[in-house]
Amino acid sequence: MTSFRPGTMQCLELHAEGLDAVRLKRLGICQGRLLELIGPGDPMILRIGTSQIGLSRRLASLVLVQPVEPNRQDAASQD
Amino acid sequence: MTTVDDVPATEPSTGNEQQSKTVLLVGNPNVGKTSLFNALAGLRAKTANYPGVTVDLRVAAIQVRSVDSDPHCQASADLDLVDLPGLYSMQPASPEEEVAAKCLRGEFQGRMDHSPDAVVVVVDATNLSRTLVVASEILELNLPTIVAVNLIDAAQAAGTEINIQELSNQLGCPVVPVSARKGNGLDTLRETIYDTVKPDEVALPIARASCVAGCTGCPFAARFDWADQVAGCSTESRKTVSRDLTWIDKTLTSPLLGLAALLTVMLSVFFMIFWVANYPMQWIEMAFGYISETVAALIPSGPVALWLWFPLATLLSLAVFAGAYRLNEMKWTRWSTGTAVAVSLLIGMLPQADFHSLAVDGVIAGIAGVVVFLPQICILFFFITLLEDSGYMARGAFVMERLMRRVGLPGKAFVPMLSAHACAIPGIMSTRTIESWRDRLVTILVLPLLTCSARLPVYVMVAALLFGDSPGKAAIMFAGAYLLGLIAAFGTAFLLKKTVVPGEAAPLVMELPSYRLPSLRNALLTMLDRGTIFLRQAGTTILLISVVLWALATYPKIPEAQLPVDERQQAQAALEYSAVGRIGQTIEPVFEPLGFDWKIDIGIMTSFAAREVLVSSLSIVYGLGEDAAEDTDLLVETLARQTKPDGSPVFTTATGLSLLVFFVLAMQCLPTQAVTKRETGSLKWAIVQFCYMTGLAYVAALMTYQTLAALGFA
Repeated sequence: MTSFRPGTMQCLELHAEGLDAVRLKRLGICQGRLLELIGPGDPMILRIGTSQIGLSRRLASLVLVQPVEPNRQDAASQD
Repeated sequence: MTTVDDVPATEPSTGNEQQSKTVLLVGNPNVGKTSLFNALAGLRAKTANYPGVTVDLRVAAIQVRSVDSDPHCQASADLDLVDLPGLYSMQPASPEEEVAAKCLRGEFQGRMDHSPDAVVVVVDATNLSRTLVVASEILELNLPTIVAVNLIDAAQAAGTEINIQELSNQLGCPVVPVSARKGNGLDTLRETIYDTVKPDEVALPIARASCVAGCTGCPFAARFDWADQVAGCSTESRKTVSRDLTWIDKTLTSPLLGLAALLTVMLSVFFMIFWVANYPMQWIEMAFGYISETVAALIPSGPVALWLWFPLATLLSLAVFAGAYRLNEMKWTRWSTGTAVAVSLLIGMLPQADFHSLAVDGVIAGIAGVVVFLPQICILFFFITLLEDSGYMARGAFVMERLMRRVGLPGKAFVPMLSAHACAIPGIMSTRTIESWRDRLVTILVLPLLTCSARLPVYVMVAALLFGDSPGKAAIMFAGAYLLGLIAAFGTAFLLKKTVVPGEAAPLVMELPSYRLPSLRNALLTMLDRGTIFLRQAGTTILLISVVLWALATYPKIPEAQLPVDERQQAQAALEYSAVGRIGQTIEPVFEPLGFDWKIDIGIMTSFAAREVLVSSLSIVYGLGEDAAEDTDLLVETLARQTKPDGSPVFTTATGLSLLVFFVLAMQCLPTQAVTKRETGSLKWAIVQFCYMTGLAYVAALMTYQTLAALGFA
């Protein structure tokens, strides 16, 4: 996830374990969720639904994502 | 680390024979849960202290009633409303969350060892889907549950309408819209709580379906999807023209501008603390001066018959014990009662003059030494709460993350570290925002190294002594002392992370809550709560230790025959003759390599519980009397004149700087240690803190003195 530019992406997989995994998931960074990167950098800022989450690069590197095309975004968010 | 093996120390009295019900208030952080608790409880809230647990639970005994047409025959129920720590999920990630989850499951020992009678889940109307996630987990516990939708006014202002009936249907539990800030909906919430816990109702077993039942994927994802669906069904958004705050947020979270903004905010808060707190601190000093004069006048100077004096003094001492035990929430066990009675009998047998000295120099001076810091602590917590409620504090931690992580600390450690520059105690008390226990522990351990305001009188004395004629050099010395504290704190944090508390700082993932207008009421109530904890913890410890130090500095008494005629020299001779004076002379060889003579050693020992005492101790030990400590010029002049037996001056540049370095780094503050013990839940870490800081101070002062002496400054 560290290599992406601002925009919407879908979380595919989480390589975190233990406490890190719990801390990520309970804030909404888990499989299938849509994440929007709005402030790149380290730490970066994500928008998930209506909340904003600050995330360090180290944890971000454990999150496998795929970008979501802008025209697919609406469809995906209505799922 | 959160082990409980005792019953809670407090049981709020309900004034009712009926067993009161327990209602838990639970929800995500930043949903205004504490504001809602404060709105419901007001000043009835009490911080319950659970032995062995580092987490405070705020409990309020309140009464809820049904809103009947006839106001004379309203039924009511007494209940204990408990404000649980913020919780994102029932899988805890911090000690606070663990306690919250245990309370919900009824696994928390002590008072909460049974399932709660009802749970109020607080959700945020402006962020409904995210805050409903934890509600899904709590609903599955099949407890009587009410969902309170807070910030309903803010949501309406933003154009979001929530269909309460639909939400209630979806969740299968009562839903109440509230605004804790404006006080809307509180009566309805009270009534709903009453309906849920009312005694005459036979409770039906509740069985709610789990939204993760039968799903094979990630349970968290299933909960989020469920929450999205529920929120989607019950909310309707109108597009409104709202003020766009994105640009402010971009600035406040940017690496450079954000840092500058944070420093500006924090420096202004600090300016406020020192500037505003100055006045109440002066009043407190004046008030205690008046109190000690009054007490001194009340104690008869002429002879009083023993049969009258003994019971009077004993009772007075017992009363002080009772007050201190009550304040510290100590129980009257066989041991504690025995101690109180034995010490009181001993005090009753003291000669009148000694009793006078104990009351004025021991008890009153000891209490004054703690209370004088109360204004700074209150103001600090007031502003920190305002900044936290506004949503800014999370941005501050976000910006500091990058810098703090280099020394192995999380960004959130920044606020405690800044607070510690006023006083380490509120700093340690505010480390609770740090989730990871290891990060929190390291922060607590290094905080007392930062220059607090109690060190300033010592710095001022040394500056006047060494650089009285050169303000420039004195300023450099001050800056150097602050810097030394900072470097020592960061360096120690780095080393601790490599050795005693291994592991890197937990990488950041945190919510950046939306900006909100903070509530003054909430900030004031938090300030009151924190101030009380400070007085309880620090006040009772310092009372005990100042009495012990008083005894050590008073006994054994110098025989009348050896007493000098001059009053100032009397105090000096008495101190030299006392236990402290003798110990000082015995341990002189230990501190000699640091350039200290036995008189300075006496100062170090008497300031063991509170650093600022050094100045008045040196004043007594050099024959000026205690009052001369106020007059820096006179004291400095006297200190500068002191010579060793061989005729060379005692306070050379090397000795002065060695003393400064020692006081920058040494623990020398018992109230802080009491708070460390409380926050870490064990005496072990308070001892570790004391040992490493004293060791560090000794070695650093030794190096300073020996280096400077070798360079010819001795």
